Amino acid sequence: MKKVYFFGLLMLFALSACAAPQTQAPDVPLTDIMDEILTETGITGEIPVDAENLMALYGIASEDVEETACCITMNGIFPDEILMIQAVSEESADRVEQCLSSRLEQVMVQSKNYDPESYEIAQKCHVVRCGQYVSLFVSAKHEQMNEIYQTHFQ
Amino acid sequence: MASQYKWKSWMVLIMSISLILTCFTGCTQLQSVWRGIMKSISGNVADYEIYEHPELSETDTIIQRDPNIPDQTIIPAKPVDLDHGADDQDEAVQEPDNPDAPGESDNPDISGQTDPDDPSGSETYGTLAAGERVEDSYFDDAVFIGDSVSVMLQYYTMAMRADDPDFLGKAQFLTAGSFGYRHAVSAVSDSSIHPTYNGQEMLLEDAIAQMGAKKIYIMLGMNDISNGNYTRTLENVTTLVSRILEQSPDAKFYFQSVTPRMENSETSYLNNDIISTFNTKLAAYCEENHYYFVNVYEGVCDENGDLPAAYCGDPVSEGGKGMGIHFTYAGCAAWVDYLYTHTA
Repeated sequence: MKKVYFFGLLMLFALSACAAPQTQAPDVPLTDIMDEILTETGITGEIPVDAENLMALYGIASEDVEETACCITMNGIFPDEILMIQAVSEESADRVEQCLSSRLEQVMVQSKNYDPESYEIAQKCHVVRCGQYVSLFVSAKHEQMNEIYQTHFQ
Repeated sequence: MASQYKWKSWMVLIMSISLILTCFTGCTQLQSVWRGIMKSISGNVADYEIYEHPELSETDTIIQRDPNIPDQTIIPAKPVDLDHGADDQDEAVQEPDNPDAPGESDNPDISGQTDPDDPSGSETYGTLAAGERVEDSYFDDAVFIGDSVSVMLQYYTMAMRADDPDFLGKAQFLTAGSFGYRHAVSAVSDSSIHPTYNGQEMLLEDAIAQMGAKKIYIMLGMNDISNGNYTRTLENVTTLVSRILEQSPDAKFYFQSVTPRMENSETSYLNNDIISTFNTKLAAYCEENHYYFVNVYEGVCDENGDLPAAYCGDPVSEGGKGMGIHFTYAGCAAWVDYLYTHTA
C-alpha cells in the first residue's frame, strides 16, 4: 500500500510538471515569427492584414491589440489565414480569442458543403491562447505553423 | 465475472477487426455503418466523402462522390452574345413554362432603356455600356456583396490599398464563401451563411444600413443557379432588394454578372451555358426593374467565353482539386478595370 501511495504521489508531481504553463511571451517579435513561418512553409503572395482590416474581417478592435502579425493569401478556394495577435490585457485577449473562434466557425460552416478538403482542414485548426497571445492558423500547413509558433514560447 | 470479461474481450476484438477491415477494404457500405456508430457516440463525423455540392440548391439531392469515377461532364462552352439573349430551349436547362416568373422573356432586349418616370431620359438602366473611367471617389459609398469569388476581390483590394489607399475609393465589402441569394434571404443562425460586418454575422440589409452604402454592387448566383434554378433565384433577388430598400431607400443596385468558369472545370449542373443564361435573365430583370447590370463576364472571359488560365487561381488539377472559378491578381485587376469603366 505504501508503494501505491508513493507511486501515486510520484505521478502527481510528474503530471504537475507537465502541466506547468509555458512562457507567456515569445522570445522574438511576432513579425519575426511570421517571417519564419512564411519561409519554412514556402507561402508567398501574402497580404498583410492591418488594424483596419482586423476590424472589418474579424471584429477585432484596435484598442485591444498591442502587436500583430497577420496575413492572408489568395491561394485556392479558401485562403490561408495566418493570425498572431498580442492583446493589451487578459480581458482583451478574451475578446480576441472569441473573435478568432467565431472566424474559425464561419470557415467551417462555409466550407462544410462547399469544399470538403477545406472543411476537413478547418476542423483540425484551433485557436491557441498563451496568456495575452492569441493565434489562429487556417491552412493546410497549420500544424507546421503551430509548431514554429510554439517553439518561440518555450 | 471471468466469463463477463471474456465476452467483452471478444466484442472488442470483433469491433477492432471490423474497423481495420473498414479502413483497408474501403467498403463504402461498411464505412457508412461504422460512421453511424461513431456519430452516435461522438455526434460529429466528417462526411467529406459524401457531401452536398456547393452549387446545389436545398431541394437538390445529395451527390455521392466516388473518387474512382470522374464527376465532371465536360460541356464545351459556347460564347453567348448577351445582346441577342440566350436560347432558353437548351435541353440541359429547360424550365417549365411560367409566364409570371420574372426575367423569363425569350431573347430579351437588354440594351439600356430609358426610365419612363424620367422624361429627360437622363437615367438609363439595364446593361451598363463602357464609358469614361471614373475617379476612385466614385466608389466611396459603394459596397460589394458576393460569394467566394468576391472574397478574392476583397483581398485584392486590401493588397492594392497598401500602396494606394484610394484604390476603389472607400468601398466596403460584404462577402462570404458559398454565399448565395438563398442564404441572403434566410435568417442568421449558428449554421447559416452570411457575411460579417465588423466581425458580426448579420443580414445584408442590416449591414448595408449600418454602413450607409448607397451603391450596392451584388455578385451572387454561382451558388444558386446549378441545374438551371433561375426562377427561384430571381424570386430571391426580388425579396432581397425589397428588404434592402426598406432600410436603405436611397440605395441603387448594380447587379454584377456571374463570372465564367475556366475551360475543363465545367460540370453538367454548372457550366458557362447555365451561367450565361442566368446572366441574360438577370440583365433583363435589371432593365425591367430599373437596376443596373454590370456585365463583368465580358470583361474577364476569353474568346471562347471561358475564364482564362491567367485569371484563375484554382484551376482544376489532375487530382480533381480546384473549381476553376476563383480569381488571381490579374483576374481581379481586369475585373476592377471593368468596374471603373462601366458606371452610372
